[in-house]
Amino acid sequence: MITVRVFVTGLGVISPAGSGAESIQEAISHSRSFLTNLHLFQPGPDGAMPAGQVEHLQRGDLPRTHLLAISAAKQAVAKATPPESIFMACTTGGMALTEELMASGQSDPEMFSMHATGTVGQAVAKSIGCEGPVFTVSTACSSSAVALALAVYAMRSGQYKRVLVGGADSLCQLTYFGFHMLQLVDPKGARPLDKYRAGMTVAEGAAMLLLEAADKAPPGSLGEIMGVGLSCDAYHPTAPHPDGTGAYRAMAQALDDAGLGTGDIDYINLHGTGTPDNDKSEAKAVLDLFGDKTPVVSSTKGIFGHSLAASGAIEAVVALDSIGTLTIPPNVGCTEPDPQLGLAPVLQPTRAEIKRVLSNSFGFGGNNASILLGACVEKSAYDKSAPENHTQQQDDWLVVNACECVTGAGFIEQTTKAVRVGKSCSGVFPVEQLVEGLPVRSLRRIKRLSKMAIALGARLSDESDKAEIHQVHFGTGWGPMSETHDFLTRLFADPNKLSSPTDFVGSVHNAPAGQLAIRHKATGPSATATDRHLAFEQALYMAQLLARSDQTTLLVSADEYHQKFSPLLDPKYDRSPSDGGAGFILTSDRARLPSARLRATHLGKSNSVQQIALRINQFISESRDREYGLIMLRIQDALNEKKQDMLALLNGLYPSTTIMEYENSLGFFATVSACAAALAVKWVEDGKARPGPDSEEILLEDRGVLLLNLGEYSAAVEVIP
Amino acid sequence: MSDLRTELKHKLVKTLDLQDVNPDEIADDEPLFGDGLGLDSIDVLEIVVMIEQDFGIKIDNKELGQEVLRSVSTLADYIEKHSKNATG
Repeated sequence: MITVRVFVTGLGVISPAGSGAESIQEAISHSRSFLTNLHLFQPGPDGAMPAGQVEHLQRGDLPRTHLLAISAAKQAVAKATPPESIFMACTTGGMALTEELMASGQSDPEMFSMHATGTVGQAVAKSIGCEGPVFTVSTACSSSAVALALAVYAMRSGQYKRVLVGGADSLCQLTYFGFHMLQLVDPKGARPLDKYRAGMTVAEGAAMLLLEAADKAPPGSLGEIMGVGLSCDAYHPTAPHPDGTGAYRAMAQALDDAGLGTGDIDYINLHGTGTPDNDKSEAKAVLDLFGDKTPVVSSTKGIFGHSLAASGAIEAVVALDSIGTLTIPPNVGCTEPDPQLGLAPVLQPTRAEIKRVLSNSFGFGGNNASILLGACVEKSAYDKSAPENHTQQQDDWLVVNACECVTGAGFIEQTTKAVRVGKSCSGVFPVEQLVEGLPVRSLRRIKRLSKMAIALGARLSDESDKAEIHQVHFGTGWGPMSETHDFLTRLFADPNKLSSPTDFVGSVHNAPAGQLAIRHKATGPSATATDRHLAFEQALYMAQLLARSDQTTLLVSADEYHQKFSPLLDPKYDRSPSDGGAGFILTSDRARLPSARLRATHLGKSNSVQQIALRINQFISESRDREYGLIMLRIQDALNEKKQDMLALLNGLYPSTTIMEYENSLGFFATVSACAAALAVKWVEDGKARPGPDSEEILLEDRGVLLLNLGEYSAAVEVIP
Repeated sequence: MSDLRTELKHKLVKTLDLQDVNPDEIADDEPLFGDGLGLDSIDVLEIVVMIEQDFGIKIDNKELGQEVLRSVSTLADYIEKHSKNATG
């Protein structure tokens, strides 16, 4: 067993305090707040509220979030060769630009090409010359801490030695007004832990960390990621569990993951948003877990504000700074600590012997992450008994216990039948049929994407005899477009800048995951992957990384068709409106027979057919002698002109294997690959496939099905008996 | 029953998408939260936005919202009182 340790060997940061690690250090040592009245766009009629704005960011062709991310990434890898992979956290992608375009009535899809969250990580990759896979994580305010945890798991699996991970979000009207609608914004600026605190301050920024896997600290290391903990409240779409149980579990797991105890932590950098509820439940969780061993604590959101997907990464930089300078950052904004919280936040920068820091990040959907960062020491803290999950795991196949899909034709039975008789599944399945049988009250306040996820989840639960679910993972190309569209349209139309709080809550990309977690009482780790046509493959990969032998996973991947947004954002799919998705209940062991296993492999970036050929060849050599009776192929837009070359290539590689171009049968939408995987699972279980009316029945026997999703970024999903 | 109360009941059902509730069956003093209609904190905010957009009356903090939104009656009383103030 090889124990993998993960070290931080480079970092970059840009925040309202400025750019570079020195800006963080200076802000902390001077106890300064960088929250100023909003001037980036027009505020509401009540005037500008405080916001954390990055000044002097050069305007470019790219949206603000992309520019922030690139700035941080370039700093992080300045002295290093490009990483093998990128884990990027982001909640709103190119939203700030999309808002401007929408407000000015733009309708040219080309202008919206940087809208998707996934474009941020890919722009970063381009700027630093990374050719490996780029993963996009979107779990609201915990996004970059979740991305960090995923990156650590990916490195422990032995797959990557060098990974760039972090988060970025720019201010935009959706979040600025959205949090305002939720009455979560403190008009005086965030005062975390203060007796009179009245909310958070929305901010922007980016931070990226270069991670290296090694058995001991590489020269110049800034610290070690010693442990990570993820959990879900499964309680409410926005409010934290009042008892802080989810936060407690995330922190406890981070300690456990590092093989450390409560007495080993020197400082906790709290999530500490400044909202009455967050600070209260987090304080309870800290006191419940640490008791009389509670270390010194502070929140730094009074300095930098809450930069959503960036905040976890920025606070990881703060944690490393506190270890490096032996300084506890001050809880700026708090003058009179709330006695009801029972915590004594550090109010001035204070010198202390800090070796290990716990950094908390919690988000909507009850999504919690806790990261344990430590000073570089020669010997690992857990030399005697390395925790099992620090060692390389080779077997990352997930066993399908149940699967379901929905397309324009209906659920999996109707979809399989339609494919068999050659009827197109393209279309938008009527919502009344989608949610048939579900309690009306349970669907209140949610729109099409969440309804799809809930319908799939409910059917899977029935199919698996209501198997206990521990983890929920979700993949979506575009997120909840209905809620996003409705929130912005109403906001732009109202001179008082009012819009629906429910729509804002529902607009976050992980909202469907939060809904699923609540319904299935899944309190384990939860990740949401959001990268256009690879969202399903990324979510599956994240499920592999987070799989535990004693836990059952519900993986759902879906996209909705939206009349206004789909043609703008995903123009290829305008030609025939369709949507859908699929869900899987996954375990590590076989609970029933026959059963299929599946696994995603990400092939990274390719700029030409030749390069894709290389990637596929490498994949084949690594998949050794697994045989496939059917190849299910999707060729993304970017490659469309070279489709014939691609087909010729695959025919050369797999001369006697049928190739099914599944978009033609299943419809054109981002997560159609999830539906294809569901069909593949059924066929593998049956031992035979019937991919169309013109093809003979394919006897698979003990052969599998290979799904290839090829484009600028490519991925393979294997489904085997 | 005043017209305002009836109007509010219909608005609540529409705004909160309460498909399984007949607005005319909501009692004036029926609790909106907890065991009554079973609404929660996000519903409070949704109603707050509706009241501001439709009646021009702000309810700008959570505590006030929970106080005012105990029932259709309390909400109607609050609107009547503040509309009068607004019109002088």
